[in-house]
Order: sequence, then C-alpha cells, then structure tokens
Amino acid sequence: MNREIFLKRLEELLYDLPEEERISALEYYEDYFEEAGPDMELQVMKELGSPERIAAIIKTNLLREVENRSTDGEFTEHGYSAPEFDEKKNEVVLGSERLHEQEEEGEKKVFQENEFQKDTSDKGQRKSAHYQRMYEHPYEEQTRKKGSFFGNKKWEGKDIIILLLIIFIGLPIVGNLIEFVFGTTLGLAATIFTTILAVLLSGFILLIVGIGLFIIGIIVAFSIPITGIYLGSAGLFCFGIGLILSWIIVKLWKHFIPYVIAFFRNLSYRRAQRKEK
Amino acid sequence: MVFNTGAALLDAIVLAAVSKEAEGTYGYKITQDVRQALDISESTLYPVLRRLQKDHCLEVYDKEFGGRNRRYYKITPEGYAQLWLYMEEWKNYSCKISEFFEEVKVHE
Repeated sequence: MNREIFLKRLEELLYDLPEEERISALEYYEDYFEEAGPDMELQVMKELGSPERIAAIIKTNLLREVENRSTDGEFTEHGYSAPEFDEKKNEVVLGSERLHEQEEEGEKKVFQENEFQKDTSDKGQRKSAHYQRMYEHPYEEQTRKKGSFFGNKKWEGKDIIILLLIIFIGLPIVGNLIEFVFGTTLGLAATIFTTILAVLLSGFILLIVGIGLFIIGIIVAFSIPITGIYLGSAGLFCFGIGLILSWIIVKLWKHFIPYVIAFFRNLSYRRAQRKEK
Repeated sequence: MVFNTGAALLDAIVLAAVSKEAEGTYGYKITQDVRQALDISESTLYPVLRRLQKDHCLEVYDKEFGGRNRRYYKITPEGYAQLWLYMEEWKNYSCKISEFFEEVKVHE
C-alpha cells in the first residue's frame, strides 16, 4: 500500500461523515504525510495502522465528542474566538454546494427548453417563444408580432376552432411521448431494482425455506419416516446454503457500499469540476 | 507505555504543546512534540486536535510553506483557561498519588 491508496481508501471510508469533517480529516493526513517526507511514508503508514483503523478512530471520537458536551458554561462564551476562520472553510464548502445547486438548476432549465423544442406542435413552439420572451425580457414591453396568437387580436370564431384543434391533436402527441419515455425508464428501473433485490434476498429466503422444510420434514416423519427424513435433510441443506449466501451478501455489502457512494460522489465532483473549467 | 492517557489528560498535553509557540504550530510538529513526552500512537492526535478546535480551545489558520498550505493550530483564550484548569487538576491529582506512594514501606 502506498500513500495515495491509503488516503483514497480513507476518503471512501469516511463517506458517512459531513463533508466538512471529511475534508478536514483528509487534509490533515495529507499534510502529515507531506511533513514526514517521502522516505518516512512507510513508517508513518505503519504507525497509523490501516485506513480502516484511522476511520474508526475518527468516527468514534466524533461520537464521543457529541456525548461529552458537558462543557462548563463559562467556556462556551466566545471571547476572541476566530469564527471567520471556520466560516471561511464553511464558505468554501457552501460554495461548492451552491455550485451543485446552480448546476442542477441549470440542467433543469436546459431540460425544460429541450422539452419545448422536442414538441413539434404549433402550440408548444409558440408557447415556448412566448415564455422565453417573458423570461428574458420581463420588463420590456411585449412586442407583438403581426397576427400573433396571444396578441391584441379579437377572438373570433375560427380562432377558437383552431385553438381547440391544436389542443386535441397536439396534447395527445406530447402526452404519448412523455408517457412513452416515462414508461420505459420506469419499467427498466423497476426491472433492475427488483433483480438486485431478488439476488440480495435470495440468501435470506433460502434460510427461511430451509427452516420451513426442516420443520415440515419432522412433522411428516411421524407418519412417513422416509419422506420426513428426506424433507428434513433437504431443509437443512437449504438452510446451510442460505447461511453461506447471506453471509457473503452481508460481507460484500459492508465492503462495497463505501466504494459505491464514493463513485457517485466522484461523478458529481467531476461534473462540478468540468463546469468550473 | 504502562499507564494509558485519558482523554482529558491528552487534551491538556496537546493544549500545552500548542501553547508553547506564540504563533501556534502545525499538526505534524505537535505530534512529534507530544510523542517526546508520551508514548502514544500518531493516529490518536487528529481527533484531539479536531475536538479542541470545535470547542474553541484552538483556532486554525493556513500559512504557506514550501509551496503548499500548512494548517497551523493556535491556542485561544478559552484554550488557555482550560489549560490552567487542567494543570491545577493535574497538580492535585499527581500530588495525591505521589503522597500515597510515599507511604509505601518495604517490609523485610
């Protein structure tokens, strides 16, 4: 193991800490390695133990700190404390959160605009143009195109008919499109989700099935011994396999959840970085 | 190391180590300093520093050194007050134990 792997693993293990805490801890240990120097790297890692150990120490101490909040009243008064230093750090974190929010809002806006563009019906396009005008120039007077639909023109009979036609033809098309997109994505998501769930539950289900078979086996054994023994042993067998599977699943879950969360977090960090560039 | 260091004592020692420098010191140096007096693991220092910082006994600032930012810890007035308290307590505690040990007689 080298320093990079150590720090990377530590970052993953601290996934359930608030961002400020995680960053503070990682910076501390990065600096620590820096100060010790490259030739002390192995020595430092030996002293620190494993990333798992460091993460556990950090987390238990954070918990303990929360419990031990029996500080004397006098020491909680802020005389000269330097909150501006803490706040500066907070600002950095908030900044990136704001970046996330902006980014999400930006994407939402783009999606909405795209939706209007996808919509080929007359109504959609005019509505989009209308809304865009309203959004971009809220204080400017609405310039009215000649013959504009929502303009000053008096509503005549044929206008109502045209409007109705647009509604009844345009809306179903849009509706079907949306329904199709939603339907397929939902269906796909549901399939994936249930498959994963089934695999995860298989271990535990086998456990239950095993026990059930065993009990049934014993009951049957009173009337037909051989069948009873057969069922009972099948039950034990299922139970055994269920145990092994469950144990594997639990182990994998504990081991991989930090990676998964770090993966998704890296994705959003990378998006933020790209946006910054 | 025969006697384990409790949390309060460790806090006191770290505060004392940081207070030795008027402008504060950085984590690595604090650790080396403390380890000259106490045989503790390097992995225990960070939580202590973090806790003291959150209790406003220490404040942090970054200063550039050799092309990168170094985080310095400096003791605050609250930190000083806490340190005096600890030092008083330690005097009481250690004196009582020393007296107690002095009463031990060697039986032939």
